[in-house]
Amino acid sequence: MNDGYETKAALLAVKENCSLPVFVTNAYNDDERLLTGASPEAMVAMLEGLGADAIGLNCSYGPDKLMGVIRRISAVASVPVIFKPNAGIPCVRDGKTVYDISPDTFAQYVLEAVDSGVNIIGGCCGTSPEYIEKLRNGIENKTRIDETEKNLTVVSSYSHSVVFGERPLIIGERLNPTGKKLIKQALLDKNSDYLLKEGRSQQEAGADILDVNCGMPGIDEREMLTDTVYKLQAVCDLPLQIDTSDFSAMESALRIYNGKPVINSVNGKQEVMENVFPLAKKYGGVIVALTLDESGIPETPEGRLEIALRILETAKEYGIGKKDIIFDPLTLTVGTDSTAAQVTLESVRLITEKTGCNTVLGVSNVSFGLPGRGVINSAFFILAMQCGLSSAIINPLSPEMMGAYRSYLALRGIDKSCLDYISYVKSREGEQTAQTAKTQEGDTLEKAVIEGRKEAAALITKELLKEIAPLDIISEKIIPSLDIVGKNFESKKAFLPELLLSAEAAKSSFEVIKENYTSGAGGGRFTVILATVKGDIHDIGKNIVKLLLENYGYKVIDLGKDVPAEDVLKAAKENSARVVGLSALMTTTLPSMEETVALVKKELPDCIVVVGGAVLTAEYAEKIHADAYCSDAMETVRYLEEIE
Amino acid sequence: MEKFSIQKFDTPEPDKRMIKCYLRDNGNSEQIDTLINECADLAREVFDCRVCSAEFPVAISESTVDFGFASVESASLAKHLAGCDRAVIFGATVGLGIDRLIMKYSGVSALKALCLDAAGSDMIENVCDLFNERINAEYKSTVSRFSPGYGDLPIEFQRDIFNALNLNKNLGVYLTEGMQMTSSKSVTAIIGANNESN
Repeated sequence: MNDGYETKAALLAVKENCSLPVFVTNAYNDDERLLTGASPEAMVAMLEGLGADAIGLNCSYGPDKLMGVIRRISAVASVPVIFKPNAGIPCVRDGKTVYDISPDTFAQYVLEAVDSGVNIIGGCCGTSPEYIEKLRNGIENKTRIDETEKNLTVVSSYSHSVVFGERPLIIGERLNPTGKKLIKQALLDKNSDYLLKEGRSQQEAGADILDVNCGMPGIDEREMLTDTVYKLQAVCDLPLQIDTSDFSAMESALRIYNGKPVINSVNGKQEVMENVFPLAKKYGGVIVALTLDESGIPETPEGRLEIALRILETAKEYGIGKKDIIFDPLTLTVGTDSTAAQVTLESVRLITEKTGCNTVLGVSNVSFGLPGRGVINSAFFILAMQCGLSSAIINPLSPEMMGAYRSYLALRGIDKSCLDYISYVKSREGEQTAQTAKTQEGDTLEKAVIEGRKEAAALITKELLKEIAPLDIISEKIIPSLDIVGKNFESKKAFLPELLLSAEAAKSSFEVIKENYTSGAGGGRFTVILATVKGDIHDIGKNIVKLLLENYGYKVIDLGKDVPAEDVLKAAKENSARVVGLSALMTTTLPSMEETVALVKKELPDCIVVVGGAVLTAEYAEKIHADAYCSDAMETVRYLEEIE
Repeated sequence: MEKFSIQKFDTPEPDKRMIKCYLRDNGNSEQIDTLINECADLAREVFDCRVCSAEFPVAISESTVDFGFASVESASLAKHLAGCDRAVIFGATVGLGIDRLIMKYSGVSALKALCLDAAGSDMIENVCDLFNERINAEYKSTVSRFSPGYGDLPIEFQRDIFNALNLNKNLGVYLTEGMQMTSSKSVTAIIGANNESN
């Protein structure tokens, strides 16, 4: 197979239906990745986590091009390694398809791989009994190198793996509703764009892993966590930490995850271990283990170590080894107990020393109730790393925390020649200069929106909010400016890219307003459901419509692409939407468009259905009983204004 | 099936004027030109251009075209391939990287996503042209390439092409139930030819 996700599905299917050993091989590209992007290390991490009995590669290229891949697999795999390449790549010579590696050359490479730890060999496309005979003869003089346990604490995403223990890792904490009103709102609104943006910005700020927590009252955690994990992996290639105490949400997210995640968390309570360990064993994962149990959190490092040892013992009964457990000795608040930080630090040291396991801490709890939290958090973070902490759940957007982190790596000689430290400081200085250069004397929000300057629009909005009410900024400054560009677009004086630049500048202004006022900052217009119909995976046009509608104050619920008719109807009902907007790009999905319109019109006769997209026409829209056809985003805005 | 091959193409330089055309941008905003350059560079880094192809016999009777692995009912294809005794059928792709980039930016900047989409559309056409040139040089005569969904050639014929060339495995391209390809910047097509190769 040449895709990691597909391989996971196949392996789970086999494991759930049969008890025979499973050998898994994948076809790698000459850039040493699967065609869909996974590195050999990421595949080994995921497949070992899922319980594959032997792992390796087959097909694609000749052994000459795949030696790098097979060495990388052998270096990290703890199970037997399989090498079964093609006799080269198929090409046409003298009008015939040939594979360009001879049996002798083939055998030479494959046998060389045996010396670097490959245990099972063979040939794929283009090979013949002659090739296999050469292998068989050559193997006579070889000694088999048995596979060894590599003891790596490793997680992976669809693209790469991350190993614990080499340097302290940053786990981004921001995708968690606790104490964050905008995330709470985004979860309630099912606004995945906001969550995805948080994911991306943490990655850009230097996170190695992202924690994802969707637990809050009033939402279906299982559905939300699964959906967020699924969507995050499309826009961000970091490994994820699935953070939930709801076991059904945990299983659902583990099943959909494309890689080997961190599982947050288990603890010393019997009931929790009984639920979490079987899931971790089945789907694979590195488990965060909190050192608390039925009697609470022990007050001493020795007490926390004792729980850690008990957790390890129980894990072993489930077939889970030490390498897949990382301990969180728990950060308590120093403001209420002056020994709290000291006990945590000593626990990190003791548990690392006695168990050999990796550790993790949620750092910021230490400063709860104190002023200037960033200052004390960063000091605690450095002390913890000095005690051997292997990962920390922090806010990677905090300059104090990342400054402390970069400094620590430089001071400990982990960051050779301080290169990362230097580039970090430079990028921070760069950001500050860029911020001040964005606005000029006499600049206005109107000008920034019309000229499509996002950063300037955001900065000016921040200033304006000190004097003008948010709704006035929207109705007196943003909307009129957008209208000017919109009219230019309609009269073909401005082109689509210019309209989009302005729309994005307006959006950045809205975002500033939203950060300051969560309610009542929208334009207060009605709700619109947007979707690309089932079968269609093109959504760029629909996204443009969404951007413009939001700018004009409509509340948009974007269901994404390839959306079944029933889901459109459900969302329209739940949100009492006045308008449903449907898009389709391909002729093949027109029947699906017709079906969706029919269903919505039948169940909700008063709901207005607007359609658009490359293959739609006004005539077709009429034929399928849609209320309107709009040829572009601006026309959609105008139509909605008209019916209001 | 003869002459089965998988070829990798070095990524040609993205054509920024073409990207502008795809964006329907007739203006001369410096800001937009900078953005187009930036997106062309981003896209260039992720393009991984490949073509998987083979030659098949062609037998035409009225509006049925038989390629050996499957036959298809299509008057327009039958007319287009008249006089051809064989056809080179191929799948081409610029890889999944561009789709990932488009998705990554679609929540951040609709314009950037649109620009990247345009860069991908332009690149896959480039790759098909380059491959087409190779085929033109290989045969004494060829006709222009023809894709499922064009004229009355059913889009469902794409499924047969996928099976014949095993494009899932050979290119890492997949077909959805609605006959759309992922990665989305991919093409399947038929190039009619006749006579032995040069």
